[in-house]
Amino acid sequence: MTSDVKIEIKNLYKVFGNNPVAMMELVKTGTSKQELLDEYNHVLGLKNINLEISDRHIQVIMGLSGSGKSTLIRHINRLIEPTAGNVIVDGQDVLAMTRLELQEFRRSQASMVFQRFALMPHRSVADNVAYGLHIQGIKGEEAEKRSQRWIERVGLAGYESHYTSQLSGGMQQRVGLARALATDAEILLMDEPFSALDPLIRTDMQEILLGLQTELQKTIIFITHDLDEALRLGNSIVILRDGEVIQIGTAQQIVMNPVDNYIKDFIKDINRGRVIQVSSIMNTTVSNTGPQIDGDTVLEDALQVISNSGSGVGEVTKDGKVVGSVDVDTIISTLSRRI
Amino acid sequence: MATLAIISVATLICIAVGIPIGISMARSNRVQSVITPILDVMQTIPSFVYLIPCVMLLGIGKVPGLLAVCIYALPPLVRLTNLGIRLVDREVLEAADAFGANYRQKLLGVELPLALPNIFAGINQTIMMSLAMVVIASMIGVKGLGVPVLRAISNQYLALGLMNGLAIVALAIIFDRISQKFGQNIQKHRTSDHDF
Ligand SMILES: Nc1ncnc2c1ncn2[C@@H]1O[C@H](COP(=O)(O)OP(=O)(O)OP(=O)(O)O)[C@@H](O)[C@H]1O
Ligand SMILES: [Mg+2]
Repeated sequence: MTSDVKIEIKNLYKVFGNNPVAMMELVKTGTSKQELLDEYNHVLGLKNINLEISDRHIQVIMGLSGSGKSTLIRHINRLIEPTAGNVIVDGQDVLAMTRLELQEFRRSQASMVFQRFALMPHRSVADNVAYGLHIQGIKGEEAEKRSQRWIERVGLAGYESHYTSQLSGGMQQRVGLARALATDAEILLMDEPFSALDPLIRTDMQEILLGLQTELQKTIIFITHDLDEALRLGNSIVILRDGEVIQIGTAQQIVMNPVDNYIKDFIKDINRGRVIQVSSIMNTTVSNTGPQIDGDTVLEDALQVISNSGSGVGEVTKDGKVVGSVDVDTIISTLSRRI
Repeated sequence: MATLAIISVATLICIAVGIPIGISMARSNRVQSVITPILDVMQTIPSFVYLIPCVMLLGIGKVPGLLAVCIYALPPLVRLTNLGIRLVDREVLEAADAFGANYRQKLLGVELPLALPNIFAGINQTIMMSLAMVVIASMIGVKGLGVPVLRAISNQYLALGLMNGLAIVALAIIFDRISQKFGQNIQKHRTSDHDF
């Protein structure tokens, strides 16, 4: 995968309140969110966010409620104006755009999926999906043809003329997804898109999204407060707390090396055997005695393979080449390690 | 017929004036705080009070009558338009923004359609209130069903008053049903949940 930077967020601050600019000095000198609220009646939304989002990756943003996830994602298409900082997309400064340029940017470059769907109740499914196209002035058959493709792709064929209030939550979010895809924007902003859905439907939707992503290769910013979802979808994960970035890394990095107790709390309940991959714990001495295991294999599966083979070690491969080895003891001690 | 005409004209004027005022009220809290007391005054002040200057300035006839009817019937439409737009789901509006809708596309494509039930309730109210004003308007020379009612009051003709009063009620019911039905028809999505 390429790792060109698609979106760059630099020194981004957001303070909510009557006079946010005056609060900047305090925020920069380390006044806490609580103090700012109690003594100055301003809310610290984001504090010094620096983040580079790679092209064609899924960047997950995680954090507890109120940690600033929605605020952050809305800076990318400038639904919220920052108090200070820069947002650069494809080398273009989003904050320097005029109203019309911004409108054009939102129409063609970045589309959005919302937690509570935010569909138009007075439009049919087909018209909802075509909404972005209608806004761009694409009408009639052309719009219909282009949206029909996405309606079918998300599995809503046959429901075109229904109103959205007649659909289940999962189906409504499919409409939301199709609406966002129909504009062919390269960036997809998803603010807790699946949080309102039942666990089973949520898994379905995650599968649909992963399927679409293999095919479409978009740059997706995906917010969630569900760690399993983050680990499953994210090429990279950033964790926020009280408006600050606590850790950025791949799922493996975060699970193996949580930087503080906040993150340890997050990951303490996950099933480590199904998340940690052998490449994260292998040692680089090659012994050539056991079965070959791909580096991306999770520990649970690796353990199975190794014990079936009757040897105590497995050879870890990357792109078909042996790069290291892992033994049963290491796996077991990793699985049972208390964090 | 004369009654029908004056009510139709009054309603059209109210729509043309009231909906834009309602929209501007929904846009800014300042405008809302200025206009709300004006609406309160318009609704509560006895109509005779403004009938006098109307007649003094414009003489007796249809125009001052129309003005009086409009002043009385306008406030509910303005209020309900304002309310309807303010009640539009913020998230849906945000979605429109996120897809790059401009001001006009948001107003015509999202806010007005979603505020429609309230706007229709407002139009309905306006029609009812202008019907109620017909009798008073007849005092300053507006023809129609109000005239015989007025004559009946001053001469204590019970039967005449009752007949014409009932005619006004009948007209009110017809108008009410028509406007409600029309309102329902252009927003099928709200009623179609059941025949699914
Ligand atoms: N318009 C606003 N005015 C004042 N404070 C705000 C505003 N929007 C957000 N905040 C505050 O900013 C902080 C971050 O809010 P945000 O909505 O980004 O959190 P979140 O991580 O998305 O939470 P959730 O998981 O509940 O959606 C919160 O403390 C919130 O109260
Ligand atoms: Mg949020």
